[in-house]
Amino acid sequence: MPMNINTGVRAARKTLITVAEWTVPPTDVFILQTVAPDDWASKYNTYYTKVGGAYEKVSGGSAPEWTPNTYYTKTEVTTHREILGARTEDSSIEFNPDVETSQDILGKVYTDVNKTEPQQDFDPFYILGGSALAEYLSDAALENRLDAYSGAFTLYIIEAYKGNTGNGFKCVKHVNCSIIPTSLGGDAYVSMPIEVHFSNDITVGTVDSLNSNFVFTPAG
Amino acid sequence: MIDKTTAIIEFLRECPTIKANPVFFNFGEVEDGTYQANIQSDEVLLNLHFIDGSVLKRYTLFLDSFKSVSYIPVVNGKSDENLEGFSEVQEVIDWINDKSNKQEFPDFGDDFVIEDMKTLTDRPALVGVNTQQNPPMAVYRISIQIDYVDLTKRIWC
Repeated sequence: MPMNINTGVRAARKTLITVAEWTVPPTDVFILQTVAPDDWASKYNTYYTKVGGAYEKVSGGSAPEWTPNTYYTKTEVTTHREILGARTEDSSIEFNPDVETSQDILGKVYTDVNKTEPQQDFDPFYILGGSALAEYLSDAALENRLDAYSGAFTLYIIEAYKGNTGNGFKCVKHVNCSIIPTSLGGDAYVSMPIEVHFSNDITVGTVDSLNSNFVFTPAG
Repeated sequence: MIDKTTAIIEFLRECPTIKANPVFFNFGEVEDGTYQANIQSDEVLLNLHFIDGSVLKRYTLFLDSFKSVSYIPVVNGKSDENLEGFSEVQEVIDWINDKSNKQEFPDFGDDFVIEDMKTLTDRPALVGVNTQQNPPMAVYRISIQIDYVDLTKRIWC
């Protein structure tokens, strides 16, 4: 897949993207509606209003008058995706090769790479409002639920400097990966540095867009 | 895109102490009770790039408050005009920091996330007295610093 940057131009760091994907028990997500939906008159009783801190289904014999920023849709979410690296200044994928060298009697050096153990650290990894991953991992870490993050993630490494919107962007998918919180705390802001361990259980393909709703297509 | 200076001035105008008084931007009449917001173009001083393309930036604004000066001494604990003027400016500082603690910030729009807003001093700074005016006019300065994250350069949305 060809690169989309001009000759001699460096690829911006933001074009190398690591995305974490994980599943959780079904969670209800309520989304505030700002404009009147087309089915308001007929499906009004599938929408919700917020009363106090709770969401209640719209009731009554007919659709109430539409009011913006009042009604919610409910969606059941089981899979989350989140880009890693918001508020992180520097992070690299370390391949950690296991290298073995030997030398013959003529002085020639032979190098064998037995395996790699790719890993990427994010430090700091701040607890940010709206971050489902931070919420998930901090709970798992403090409750010592190792199975919540050990082998629980699918990771996508997207090379946004290869490809384009029409043909997709190059992506390498690793399944059964681990994201390990290593500490929780800090000074002015709460940080939870994480180690991302890739599995090398790889599928190469493309993603069709650069947002959390992307569709991954394995290479043919 | 929302102009950040306009957003800050609109925000400051919600302050009860400022609300009733004229607020000028960069230039204006120097009279008792007026406020003048002056910008400092230092956004490049804090230009911290993150790997997702977002950038932490800083916006600094000086709010000068003009108060007429009295030469009557403070007697028997009674406050005089100077003390009242100082206290009024202190109220503005306290209001800004209270808003910050509540995470109530100026509206910079969806592409900007304000991380922190603070005054650079806990007390009003007396930066000068203009004795050429009648009555003489004291200038108290409040330096307001806002750190915000610019999300416009991200490619992941």
